[in-house]
Amino acid sequence: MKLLHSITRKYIVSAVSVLILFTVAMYVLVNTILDSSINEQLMGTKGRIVSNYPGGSLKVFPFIEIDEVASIPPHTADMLKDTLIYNTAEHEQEVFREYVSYQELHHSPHKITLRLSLIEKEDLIWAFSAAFGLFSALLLLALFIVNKKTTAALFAPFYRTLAQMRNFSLRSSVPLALENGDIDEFKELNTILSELTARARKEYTAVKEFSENASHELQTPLAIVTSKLDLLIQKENLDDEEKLLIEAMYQNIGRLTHLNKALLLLSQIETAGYFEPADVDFAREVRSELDAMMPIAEYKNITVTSSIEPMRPVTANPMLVHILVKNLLSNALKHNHDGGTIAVRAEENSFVIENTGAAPESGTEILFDRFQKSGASDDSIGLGLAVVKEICTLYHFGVEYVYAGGMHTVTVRLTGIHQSN
Amino acid sequence: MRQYARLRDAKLNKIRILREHRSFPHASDSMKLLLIEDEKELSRSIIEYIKDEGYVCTCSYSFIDASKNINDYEYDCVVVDLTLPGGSGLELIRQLKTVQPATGIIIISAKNSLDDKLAGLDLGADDYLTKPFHLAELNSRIKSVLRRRFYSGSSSVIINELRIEPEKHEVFVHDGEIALTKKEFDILLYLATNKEKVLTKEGILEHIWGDDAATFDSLDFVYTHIKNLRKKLIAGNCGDYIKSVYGIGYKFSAL
Repeated sequence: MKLLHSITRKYIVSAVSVLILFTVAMYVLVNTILDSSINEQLMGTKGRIVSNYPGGSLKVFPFIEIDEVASIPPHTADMLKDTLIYNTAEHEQEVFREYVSYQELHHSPHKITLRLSLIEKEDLIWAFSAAFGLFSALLLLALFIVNKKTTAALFAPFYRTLAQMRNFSLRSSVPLALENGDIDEFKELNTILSELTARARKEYTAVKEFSENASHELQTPLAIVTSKLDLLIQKENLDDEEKLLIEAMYQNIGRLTHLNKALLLLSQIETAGYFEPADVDFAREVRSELDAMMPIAEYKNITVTSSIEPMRPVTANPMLVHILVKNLLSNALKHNHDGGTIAVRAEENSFVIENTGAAPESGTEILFDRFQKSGASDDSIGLGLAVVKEICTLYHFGVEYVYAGGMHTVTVRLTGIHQSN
Repeated sequence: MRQYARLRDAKLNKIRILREHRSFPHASDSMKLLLIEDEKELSRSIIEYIKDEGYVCTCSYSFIDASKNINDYEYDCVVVDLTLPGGSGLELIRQLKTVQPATGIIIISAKNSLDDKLAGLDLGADDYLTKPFHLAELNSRIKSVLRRRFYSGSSSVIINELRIEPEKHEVFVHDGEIALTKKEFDILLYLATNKEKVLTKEGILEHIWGDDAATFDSLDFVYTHIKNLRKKLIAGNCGDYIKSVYGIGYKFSAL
């Protein structure tokens, strides 16, 4: 439940309960006051009759009935009760308070019956209730509106902070511009969040710089080992076995170098603003990469077909677009078989590569994760698609990889929200 | 300024002499090389590899030493690392460009940073090589820079009956032109500039494909190119100089 709804609901519930209690108390109080005032009135009237009555019978129906009686029944006290009397004028039963008292008036016993209509009391209570109900409803409505408005205004900075946090990225270097309202708690929240995010960014940057530096530092020993091997193979007296050992070293140093470069690239892509964007002709990049791989495709006996139409202009780093296209095309070449096919399609908004190849051993989506390889025998380093994914994420391109019916299909969509950073 | 003019005159004079002799690369005894690299092991490897080229090589292991050498002596080519104890290689390039602008400059850096590369090339460096690299690659880059700097347009690599014109991308055997594809030409020039050295398949692949080599995982591809190249050369009556080295790669041997 939303905070604002929750607050409003709590307010309304407590207001309604207070109003109900108040109403009950009011009713009881008003009723009691009116009752006792009616009773006092009746008793006052009786008192006056007793002291001033000239004698004889009197009947003013239904208000006063004074009758002479034979005797006062024993043990009779004055009696008060409510009674219904038919009102002939309005054709309805009317409630009356009836006061019956036996009194000696001028030495003869009389029965005095006094009645007062309770209609007024009921009307009064009704009027009172109506007024009170209306007042309560207005009060609740006002409470509801004011509450909603004020809490919305009060919590506005909180919601703005939430929105900012939702868009927060460790990679971005744009500082958080959290808005401080007048509320201390929110100010404190913003301070804490600012500190937290600054610290997280700092640590993220440190980790990234560390991995970048580690990659850089690795280059030098790799260069030294490569150079020593380059010298070693110049020796005249190497036998074939030794040559194979050296070749294995070369291959693995090559892998290590490639791996290191890919890791470095990944950490550089993650650094916002590292790669300057420019206007890139995606289709031209596809065409030139296709041309570059043609000889290898021919060599591997793979048929390449392509249909390349102009693509929408893209603002991206040319080197990264080059890497994106190259990685996908070289994957299509690598994970293919003799006599296989590659179909490349470039359209306004999408770039699709379809190629034959063995089924991946795992789901296609996880191949975008780092160090995921399609097969155990594969000696690739498993970072090609991770790099593709990072580049696509950076430029808000959509990318998907489907394997069905012996065909691998990778689609890059340029339709994402375009943003240059 | 006077010193600069003097140096320039000396350099131009030398270029003139070299041009007259037209004897590149083997009479390059006078070519002076400064290697600025703080990693002594790497420095040692480079010197060892190019010792047969007949350069006069000097090594500097720090910024201060390199700066002193640049200002005191004359060099034809300087190979410079960008991260040095005591200062940046870029600053050394700046100094070089002031005191001896005709010197060829090759940057070798562990940083595969586009900014550094552009900054270096903007300052006037001729080439940029990212570590790790094959020594053969560095050697061919040094030769290429020397060719461009001192034999502009008129340099050729001549080995017996074989004549390679790097600028024009032409190859002649006994003055008859051999038609090669671009890749075959690149391989031949790479092998020839590193003649009598064993070159790895990886190094050759990297040379012709650049940074993309690793993504194409096609070492066999090199084999096919070299097979075709050999066929074409032999068909043109050239000696079969390209020898394959078991397991490792190839060697251009004219001995």
